[in-house]
Amino acid sequence: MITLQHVSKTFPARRRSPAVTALDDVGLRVERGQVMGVVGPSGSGKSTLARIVNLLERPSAGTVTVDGVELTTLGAAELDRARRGIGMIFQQFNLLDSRTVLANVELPLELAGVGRRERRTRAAELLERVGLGDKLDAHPAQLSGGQRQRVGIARALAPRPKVLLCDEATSALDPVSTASVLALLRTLTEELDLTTVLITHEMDVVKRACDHVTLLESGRVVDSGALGDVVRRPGSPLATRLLPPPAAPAGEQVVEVVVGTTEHDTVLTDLIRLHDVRVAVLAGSVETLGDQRFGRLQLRLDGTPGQVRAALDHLATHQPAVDDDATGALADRPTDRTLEGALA
Amino acid sequence: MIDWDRIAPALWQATLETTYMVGVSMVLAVLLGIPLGVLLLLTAPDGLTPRRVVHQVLGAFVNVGRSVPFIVLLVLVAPVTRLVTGTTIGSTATIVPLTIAAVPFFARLVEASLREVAPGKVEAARSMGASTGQIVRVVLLPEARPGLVAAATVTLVALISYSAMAGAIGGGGLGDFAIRHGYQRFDTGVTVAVVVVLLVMVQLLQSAGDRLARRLAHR
Ligand SMILES: Nc1ncnc2c1ncn2[C@@H]1O[C@H](COP(=O)(O)OP(=O)(O)OP(=O)(O)O)[C@@H](O)[C@H]1O
Ligand SMILES: [Mg+2]
Repeated sequence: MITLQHVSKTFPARRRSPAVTALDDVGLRVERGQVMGVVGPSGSGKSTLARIVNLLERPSAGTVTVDGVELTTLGAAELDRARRGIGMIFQQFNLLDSRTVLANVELPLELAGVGRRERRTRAAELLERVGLGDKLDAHPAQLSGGQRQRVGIARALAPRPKVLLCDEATSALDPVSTASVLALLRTLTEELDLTTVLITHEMDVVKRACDHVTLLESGRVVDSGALGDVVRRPGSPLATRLLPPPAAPAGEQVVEVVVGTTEHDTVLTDLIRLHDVRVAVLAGSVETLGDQRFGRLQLRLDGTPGQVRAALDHLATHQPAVDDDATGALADRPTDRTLEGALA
Repeated sequence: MIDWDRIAPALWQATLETTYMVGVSMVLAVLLGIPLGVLLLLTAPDGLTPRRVVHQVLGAFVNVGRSVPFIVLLVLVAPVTRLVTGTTIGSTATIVPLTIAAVPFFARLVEASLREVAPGKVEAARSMGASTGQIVRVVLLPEARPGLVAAATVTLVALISYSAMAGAIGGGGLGDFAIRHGYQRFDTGVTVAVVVVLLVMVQLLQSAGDRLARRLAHR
């Protein structure tokens, strides 16, 4: 649904600042229905990436394709039309203070030339859906941050977009509003079959609302994939951030495995059944990622040296999960360091 | 002692004249100043449609218009005034220099008010596929309304003071009245009465402007 190919963005030098390369040869694919979280340190180019998807920022090089249309080739009027298929919500909400809540949600329809009656109905229906059915005539200034973001969401969804871009949509909100806005985003994206790019600097947002994740550092993609794959990928910089390792018990030789709820049985039970080792769980941490739970367990395997070796071989071949094609380079990385240590 | 029976109708007449010339030139200032202010903003280097040359030409015109003292402007544009109205004295003639002074003045204030609109709002509209024209009509002007009302109030007050200045060269209105009936006849009472009328006018306009701006702000 969204494809960025070799996208670079360099902001030209200004009087007092040198040129900045905000994005450097970025490739990104987001398939239909996916919720892609984009994380990275401040200044790594996350916002620039979001703004490139709807061409608010024109890439210096590379192509942007959304819903089969290569936006980078479009003229101004065609681009305006294409943007109606891409909703966007912002950290600062960016609602119009001069308009009522209802009129704010009507705005994109008004711009698209939709008739008054139709846009009224659509806007009211969406506001009802985001839980603001009783605030139609309020002004944004009379709403809380969480309520304003709900208006922002309703506004973005009014023209029935296929893609939703969220730049730090919850960063200005308190934890309770954050949770409810994320939950709303999650149900809406599913209900409406939206393809979503969710920019955030909080890993927690990724864990709660995304099914895929991309890590940017200094304008480059350094890790990307489905949460379930990334978290199991040995050496992935995102894996330990999504699922932090438990404090290891000192002096013991440990094997670390990452298990998800669906294959919970197979990894551990296969280990025991096929290789006849005894497994002691020394430590573990569990996280909910999207709709699945994952555990990072530190195990001690007991048995004859042959059995342990066979069991470790089994883990080495079964543990690193299939890699996403998006990050083929990462598949060549050496296997889990703790496993290597245990094998040595 | 002031002969009120004689003065009052003339004072009323002068007040109406001032209202007339200030009102007409204000309407013209709004009609011309808003587009000019919008153009200044759009063509600026960081604007939505940067046009260096257009911006510099408009900027220069506005700056010249604002830096010439009004009393000099009155004399300077006299030929234009005669061309347009056929005369250089009286309140209709004064509308010409008043408008010429007010347009650049108001345009700069319009530009400044529009600049106050959060860039994020413009960006949001762009993300919805708004054209530049739509952004001006739907986002910039409505969102800047409180600032525009404040700008219009400041311009009106300046116009009242300019119009009084025009009295020095027979421009009609309250200034003219004060000079002919107060200054030239050594009747300080008349001058004071004119000052009071001007003061009341400015006060009323300012508080009405403030009230309207506050009501439009929705904060
Ligand atoms: N309009 C611009 N002009 C010049 N430089 C810019 C512009 N926008 C962004 N940059 C630069 O590009 C780099 C990436 O900025 P970007 O806003 O994409 O980072 P970010 O990852 O969103 O950071 P944050 O987490 O702080 O929001 C930064 O170095 C920034 O200074
Ligand atoms: Mg950012």
